[in-house]
Amino acid sequence: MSYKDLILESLTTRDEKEHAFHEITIANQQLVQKVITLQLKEKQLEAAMKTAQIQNETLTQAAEYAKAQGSPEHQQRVAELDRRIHDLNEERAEMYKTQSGNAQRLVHMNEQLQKATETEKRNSAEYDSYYLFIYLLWIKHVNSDKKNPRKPFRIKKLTASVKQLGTKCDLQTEQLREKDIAIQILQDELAAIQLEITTTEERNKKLEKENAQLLQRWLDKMNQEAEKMNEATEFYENFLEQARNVGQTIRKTSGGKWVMRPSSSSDKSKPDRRVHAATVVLPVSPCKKMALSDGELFCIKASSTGSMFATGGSDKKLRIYDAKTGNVTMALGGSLQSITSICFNPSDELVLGSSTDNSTRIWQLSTGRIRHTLTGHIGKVFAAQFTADSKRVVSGSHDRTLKVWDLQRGYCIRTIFTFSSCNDLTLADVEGQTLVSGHLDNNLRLWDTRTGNGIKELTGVHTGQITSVSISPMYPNGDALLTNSRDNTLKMIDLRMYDIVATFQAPSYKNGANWSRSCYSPDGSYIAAGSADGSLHIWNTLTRNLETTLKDHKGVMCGVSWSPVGDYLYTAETNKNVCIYNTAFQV
Amino acid sequence: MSVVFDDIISKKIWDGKLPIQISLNPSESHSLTEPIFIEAARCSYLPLVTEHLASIYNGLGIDLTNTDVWYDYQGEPLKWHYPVGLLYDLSGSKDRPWRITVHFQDFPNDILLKSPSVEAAQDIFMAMVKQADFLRHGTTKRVMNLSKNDQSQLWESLSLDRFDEYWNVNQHLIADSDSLRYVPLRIYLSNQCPVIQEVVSFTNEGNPKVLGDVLKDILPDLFPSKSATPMTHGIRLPLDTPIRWASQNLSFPDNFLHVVICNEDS
Repeated sequence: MSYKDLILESLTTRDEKEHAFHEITIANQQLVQKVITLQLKEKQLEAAMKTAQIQNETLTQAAEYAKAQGSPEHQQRVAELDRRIHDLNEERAEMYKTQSGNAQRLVHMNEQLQKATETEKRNSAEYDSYYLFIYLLWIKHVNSDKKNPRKPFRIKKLTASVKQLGTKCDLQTEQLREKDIAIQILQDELAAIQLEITTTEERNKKLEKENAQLLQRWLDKMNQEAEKMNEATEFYENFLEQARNVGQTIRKTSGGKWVMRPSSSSDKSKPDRRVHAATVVLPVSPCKKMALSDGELFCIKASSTGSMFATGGSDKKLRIYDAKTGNVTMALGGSLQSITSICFNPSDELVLGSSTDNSTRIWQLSTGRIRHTLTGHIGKVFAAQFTADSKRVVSGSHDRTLKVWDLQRGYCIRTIFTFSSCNDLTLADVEGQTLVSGHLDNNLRLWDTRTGNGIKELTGVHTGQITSVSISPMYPNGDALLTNSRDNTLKMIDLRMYDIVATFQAPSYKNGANWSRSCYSPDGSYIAAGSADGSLHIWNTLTRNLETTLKDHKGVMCGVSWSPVGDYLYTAETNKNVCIYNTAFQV
Repeated sequence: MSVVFDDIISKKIWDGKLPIQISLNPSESHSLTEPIFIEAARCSYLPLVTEHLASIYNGLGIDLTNTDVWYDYQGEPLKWHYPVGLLYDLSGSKDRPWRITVHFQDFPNDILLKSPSVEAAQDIFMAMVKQADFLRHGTTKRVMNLSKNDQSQLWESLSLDRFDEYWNVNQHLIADSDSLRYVPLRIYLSNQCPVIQEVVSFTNEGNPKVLGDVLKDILPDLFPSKSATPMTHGIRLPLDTPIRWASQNLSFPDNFLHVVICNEDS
């Protein structure tokens, strides 16, 4: 055989021998695997059993412990019961104590009773012995009297005297008893009276204390009142000072007397501007009519103190007139073109006139000289006003700006762009923080002078250009702003809610000029406006009715101004005529 | 003359299996006292056997990652880097199943190579393959040119007993050509003697050599003689086996011929 066959044969034999164990080996392996897994399981079960045993032990321990202790409720009850037992024992001990005390007292009482009975017995025994003695005596006497014939008489006498003595004795005992009773009563009364005394003494003390307190409070109150009086007088002084400076906010009746309100709210920080009744009278007819100036009149203004008024017009001069007589006191020149608006400062030292030469001039009234010329606008200046402290001036111009000027520095410190030419402006408050301006585009605008920002734009108020804005003298307590417009209406606008409070119009009223100025009466009860046909219209602000129309002018009226004092109303027409009406309240 | 690749013999060589009875060391107490039986391939290695028995060993509580597992036959530690079939033939044991003992402690560091893990066995196996290739062709070009997949496939198919996959790769290495240089051959005499690995050429002055010639060259004292027989895979090799054919068909999976010389007994 070839080597191959030999090798093949050997391999086959080898395989037969060596592969004989195949099945056994496999079976053995499987069994071994099973044994291994079973051993593992056994271990796991043992471990589980151990843990279960441990748990069991702990649980039984816990259960035993709980049983021994009893559940918490039982424990509580047990504790409670213990406490109660304790308390009861204490009570019992106390009872015993009181009982022993009572027993002692009883014994004591018994002793006393015994003593008393003994004494009584003794007394009665004494009485008995005494009587016995008397009786024996009497018997003796009787026996001895049997020997004596005079004895019955003596016996009678003696028995009588004995009776007397007995009755006396009884009387005495009676009296004693009564006296005892009386003493008892008196003692009771005494006790009662003593009680009364103590109570009254206490009351007395209390009342004295109260008295002292009340005295103190009264003293304090008097002090307070005294202080208040001081404050009031101080305040009065201050107010008078202020009143002199702030021309537009003074409220005076005729003769410059103050009308004090009965309520206590009058002495607060702001001067009280409320006055009861209207203190101006409707004018009936002018007391003076004057034809003044060389040119057309454009504006008329009463001074802040009411001592004078001024007119300005196309003759470039600002004329100052005395309020009562109407005579010209000064003619202030210097303006290059016509004067469009006039304003006095609150102390009436300065007067300003805005002009169509794009500037505003300030004259000193004492010297008649120009103090400042405020240039800077590039359009006609139509309105200007002093602030309450006279340190600044605000002016509005047709160059669509408003400018704030500082008089100490002499130049413009703020320019506010207003989108539309300003026809009239007014300061809304005493400090000069808010500025209201009326414009060519029929709108009203409110500005903050410090920042220059617009606060509010009121559109739709008027349908024609606004020719005049004035602040009510009663602001901020009354309706606020009066606007006059080319749409022939006047409107009062509340500056807090920005709504129209009232509208004033009349068929005969027509606004004749772009700068026609209207105004409030000093007490805020009337508004006056001049019409295009020369008639002066006055409406009542409360009833909103047209009160009167006075036709004392022939031409277009350009301005009306009411003196802050309330005595005169000045009206001017373009055609140079000025009328003065007396509106003082005659007492 | 090309040598035919003999399927049948090759398959029989591959399928050779040994029954082994593994006893646990009685000095190491375990929950399992009975021996474990397993059939191991002759071409396999001891670490692979350990791996197959891993579940059983784990069940005994042995953590295989930390333990060095070693086997011994009658007190002699078994070299784990030799194929199992070679170890069996070397031991000279004739008993079936082969009774060996497994140890989990006291690894004999002085006798055995360290860390008998599957990865180490794989490394040694690949080293032998490369050596065989070098001896046959003079370069390790063929092995090195194998893709990594193929290289690992050699070992994987051995450990998973996949004959076709193994030969898919191995045929590139074993491919017969006329320009073979030397025979990859190792001769084992007995356990104490060192392994003989000598340079042996395939041809003897142009003629193909047979096994007898090769043995005569290497062990002139023993061959030719009647008392010594070359054995491999548990069979006796006829001396007229052509060495080229033997190298191709009778090699172990590491492409080496491992021949054990043992005493003649029938």
